Amino acid sequence: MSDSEKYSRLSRLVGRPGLTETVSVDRIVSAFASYGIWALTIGIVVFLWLPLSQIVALSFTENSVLFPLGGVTLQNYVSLFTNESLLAAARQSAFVATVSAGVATLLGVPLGFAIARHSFRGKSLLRGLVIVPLLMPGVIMGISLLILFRVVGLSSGFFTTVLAHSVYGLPFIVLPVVARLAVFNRNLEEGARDLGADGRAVLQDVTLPIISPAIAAGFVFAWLRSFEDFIRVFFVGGTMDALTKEMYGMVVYSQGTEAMDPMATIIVLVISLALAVAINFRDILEYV
Amino acid sequence: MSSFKKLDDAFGGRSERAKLALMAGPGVGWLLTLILAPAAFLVMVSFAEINSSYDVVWSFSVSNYRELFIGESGLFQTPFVDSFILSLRISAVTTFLTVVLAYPVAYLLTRLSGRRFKILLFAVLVPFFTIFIVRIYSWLSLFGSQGLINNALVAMPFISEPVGAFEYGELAVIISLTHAFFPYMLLTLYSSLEGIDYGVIEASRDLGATRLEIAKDVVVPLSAQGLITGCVFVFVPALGTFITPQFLARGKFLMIAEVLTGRINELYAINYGAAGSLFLIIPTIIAFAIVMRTTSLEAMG
Repeated sequence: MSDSEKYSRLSRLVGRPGLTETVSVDRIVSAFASYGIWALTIGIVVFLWLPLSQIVALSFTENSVLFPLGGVTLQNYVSLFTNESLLAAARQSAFVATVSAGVATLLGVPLGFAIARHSFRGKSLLRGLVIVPLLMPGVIMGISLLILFRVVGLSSGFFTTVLAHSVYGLPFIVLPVVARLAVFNRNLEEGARDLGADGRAVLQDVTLPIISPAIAAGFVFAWLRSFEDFIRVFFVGGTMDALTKEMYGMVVYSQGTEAMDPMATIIVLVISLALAVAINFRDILEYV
Repeated sequence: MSSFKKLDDAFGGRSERAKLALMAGPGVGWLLTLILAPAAFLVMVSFAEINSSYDVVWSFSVSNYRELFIGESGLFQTPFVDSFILSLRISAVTTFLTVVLAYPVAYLLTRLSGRRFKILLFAVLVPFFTIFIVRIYSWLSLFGSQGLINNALVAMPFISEPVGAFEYGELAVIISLTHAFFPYMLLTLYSSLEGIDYGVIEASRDLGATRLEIAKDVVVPLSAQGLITGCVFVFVPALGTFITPQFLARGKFLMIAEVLTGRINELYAINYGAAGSLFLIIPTIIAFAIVMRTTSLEAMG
């Protein structure tokens, strides 16, 4: 075995950057990988945005397909804003989402405190139960609640939808609150108490301000999940209007989708703006 | 004041418990009545029958299950079984695709900071927050024989007619599901990759590991927890999806949620629906067990 062979074997084992070709191959792979990862990421971003940007473009054109290109028009927006039933459904969905997320917040914040700060029997079971609404497929939740409401004799509508959506939204409140309380520095509370604050003042002036971003983020998620839900409201909403039901009807029974594109465009724009603001102000990944 | 304090101390144990009951009680009650009780009812109804006035007749029969699995042409020759297998396949492929696509992006996100990080985060999160039905709808005009993809292909030389793969069907469903669920995978992978001490990666590089070896022996094992959680959070909802095949399969085939929904909606066969639902609950329970084993609640916020 020549010296260079020995060296090459040694360097393959120990891997010191040195004289052998294994290192330069690795360097090529390395460079390739770092460009590759960028190329791939850009490709994925295009993949994520392509359908959505196409919708935005469609919302301003005369044709309902991109090719052949039609003229630019605002007609689709006119048909959206004169579609009274679609607008009413959007308002109704926003209302249901607000009430449901509110109920989930009222129930979820104390529950999060109980899980994070107290020890009691059955706690590990409860920790499991909390994430079930998150994992349970919507169709199962819808069918099982339909059966429950029917057996109990509750008629479907606004109330049953709020029940379904509030339990659906519960994990989105409990999980961020528990996570936030887990890293909460309890010395702050101790300090406030030592300085003479009573339990209520501590909660109001120390604890809640620190965890309120988590609660707010949870509320937004619970709200969005309720707003975008189709299958649960389909089963338990009865004849109540909902935006997703209207949209579903437009696509599946093709009752003219010209209002769909501007509606989708407005949703994409609102979300983009809200998200851009959120990303610039906070480390939002803490809450997702 | 002091006497109150004494009183409070004397009843300390009980008031503490009362406080806890007050805090956790309503939320727990909600979960019990709206998640557990309905699930229990579902199991009971799956063994029951429905009479002609659409009331549940409590009984114990396995006829609903027989209907699921035994068709006119034999065992397992039913629309339910076909749909179930198809749904499992579609969800599995979707999950695989999200893993393959999300890993590099998640890794890149952990390596970026400042402006670049924010821009990339924004770019991947906007589709995530856009409501689900819009995300699925946005693929509608891309697929189909008159869709954008086929129109573009036909405009090219050598392709004279629409390509079958880009009609509405399985590929359209898989691609749109991958598009819709990609961010779930990305975020869970990101949060577990972010927890990896970069020093470990540098150390293995210093010790001569190649990129591939680092990925295989260091990054993937250390982020396995996030990978598993991500898979669960993609696979389970994909399995139960209803809107996606409604929009993008256009009746070419039915996924499991469509079969169940159709039976309940058209025939009010909630007993059949309940029995079928159990086969979606089983994967959910398995998923649940996996998540409980691999993830702590604190890490899921």
